[in-house]
Amino acid sequence: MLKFLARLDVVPRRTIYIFLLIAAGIPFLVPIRLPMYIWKETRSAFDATQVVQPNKVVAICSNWDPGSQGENWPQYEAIVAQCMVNHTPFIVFSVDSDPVSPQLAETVNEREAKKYGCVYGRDWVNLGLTRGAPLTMGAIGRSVKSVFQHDYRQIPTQNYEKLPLMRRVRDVRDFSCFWVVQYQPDLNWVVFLDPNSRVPILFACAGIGSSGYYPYLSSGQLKGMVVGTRGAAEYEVMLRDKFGKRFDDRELRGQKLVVPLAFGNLVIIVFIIAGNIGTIARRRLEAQAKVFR
Amino acid sequence: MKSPRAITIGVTFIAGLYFILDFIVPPTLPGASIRGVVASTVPASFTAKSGDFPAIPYQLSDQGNMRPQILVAQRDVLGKPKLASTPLRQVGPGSTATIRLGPFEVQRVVGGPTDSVVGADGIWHSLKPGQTWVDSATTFPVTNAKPGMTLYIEQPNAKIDQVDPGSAVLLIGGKRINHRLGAHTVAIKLSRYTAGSEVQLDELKAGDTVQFGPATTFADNRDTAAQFNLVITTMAFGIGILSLGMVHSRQLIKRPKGWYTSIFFFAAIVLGIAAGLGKYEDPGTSSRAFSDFMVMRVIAAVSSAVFSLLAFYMAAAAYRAFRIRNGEAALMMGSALIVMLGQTPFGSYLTSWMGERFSAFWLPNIAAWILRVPNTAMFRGLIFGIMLGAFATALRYWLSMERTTSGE
Repeated sequence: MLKFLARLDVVPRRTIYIFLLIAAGIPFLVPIRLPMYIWKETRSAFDATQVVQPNKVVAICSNWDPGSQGENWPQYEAIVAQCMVNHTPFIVFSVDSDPVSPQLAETVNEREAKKYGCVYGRDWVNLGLTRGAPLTMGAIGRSVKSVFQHDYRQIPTQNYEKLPLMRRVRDVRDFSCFWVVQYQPDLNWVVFLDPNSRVPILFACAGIGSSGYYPYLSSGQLKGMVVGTRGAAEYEVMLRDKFGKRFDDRELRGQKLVVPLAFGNLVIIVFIIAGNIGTIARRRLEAQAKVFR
Repeated sequence: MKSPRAITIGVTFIAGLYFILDFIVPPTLPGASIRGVVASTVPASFTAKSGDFPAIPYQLSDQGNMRPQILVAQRDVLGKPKLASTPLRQVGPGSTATIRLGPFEVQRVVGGPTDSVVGADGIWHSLKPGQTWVDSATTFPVTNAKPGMTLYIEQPNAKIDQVDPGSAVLLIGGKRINHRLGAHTVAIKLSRYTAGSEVQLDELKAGDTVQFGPATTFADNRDTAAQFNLVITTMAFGIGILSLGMVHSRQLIKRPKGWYTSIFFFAAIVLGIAAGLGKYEDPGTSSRAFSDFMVMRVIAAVSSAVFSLLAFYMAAAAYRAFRIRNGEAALMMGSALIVMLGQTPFGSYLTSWMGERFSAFWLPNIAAWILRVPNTAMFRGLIFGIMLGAFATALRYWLSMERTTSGE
């Protein structure tokens, strides 16, 4: 028995890969829904986006790219769905990100807009990509239209006939909250966007880097955070609880992707425990061998 | 080769000095500033004259979204002329500027086609001699204002005539002092917990704490500094592509082992440029077929595939790394397992049977506590350490003591 357990100390890499592939693959073939526990920071982020002040817009810095779409796509979808189902106008832009970021964001915007009857220019505006952070962050806070003179579709941002939403977007004071959706959001937003800290700043980040943002959550500099696919799934649950049938989650990914993630994590945990049992068994065997020698 | 290095050192030093001074120099001149609590204010006003027409008076206050904007001709980063909004304190009598009021939506036209209009907000707008209606879409003058249009009122190329910077009654040490602002005085609204910000007189309310004084000009040039930064960043991208192009060209000429991978580099560059240059299929929409294909079907798929491999490597690495070798390793493994399990739906599934009374012992709550308390304490220490190191490194870069970055 001890010999068998000791073999768990050195499980071949390929065995781990196969188990992980099976665990993460099955939920894609057999749809499973798991109960979600809502974390405090996800609820705070949801509530901050839900508080809509008159004549203000939600601002989203969408810096996710194909590499991080596994986690950031469902987060962005959930935030956009909340704005659209709530009829909260929003602007979206990218700063120092992959050049394809605005296009990825617009794909989600256009698909969600069809569900909720939202119109480009009136309900949302995609301002495209700019560079030069952190100074650009401060410049956006002071004047959005001086940084983005055209939107992603090359319409001048001063063209209020086509972009009536931009009439009410001048500076950071016109934001009801500010989202950064990125694999690892830049903390310079906290420092440079609004030196007077009037706008709630919310992060949607990957699970792996989230631990670094907790000091800023506890200090109140970040008002909320959506962590990884798990956070996106929690957000979808809150949206369904809040809006009922008005919220259409048919194509949303959060709750679908959280299941393979959970099974994958479970496999890793099982292998970690098994590896430690193997180590203990191997040490015992070595100790026994010494005694017999 | 000495002069390029000297230029690099000089530019780095001046740029660094600007940002340091921007942070440490106060917004108003010390010794010439006054601080107090606002009792009342009289907003700034000025008159602007166009040709032989009588001067038009303007007051810098928000009257139904009709605050006058003073626009001064400037050039953008590409050298194109543009009109930039400028504070009154930066334009003196005799300066030429365009004065713009609005925007507002036209509800109906009254009188002649260009005389008066009623805005959607019910406010009556009419032109004074020298003013014109300007279309918001193109900022070109319009001859006929029509219902539904969004318009500005503009007085183009006007000469600023008389300037009254306004005044404020301040409470200082229990006394009421009427303070008249100077031509270049800036008003900084102060708050207890946050940095002060520049405001206009009409934005101040009774009870606000304010500081008046001659402006130190660093803050006024932040946008120019931001544009400079943008140009440098873009140039860096260009240099990066040139450098990569040279490396791969050399590979193609010398043909060492694996030279054919350089072909993919040039193919990717050509495809990327073609995708970026592709015209918008339907003007005013985001649809670009070739670009969409490249992004959604090629880049997204390849990037996701590469990134998803990480999951397998991480699983294998976690299996090897989390071994109980001593007390600290056991602690780390225990907390890692709790956080991992707490982050999945299984965490609440396994422990929610304990009921609400013992919810503090649910795995997600224990995981949250680990992240919010011990993790936060550790990260704060780490941030202090990193920042001290970053400060020392920044100082070395600024003074060009880091020789590898200054061309050596």
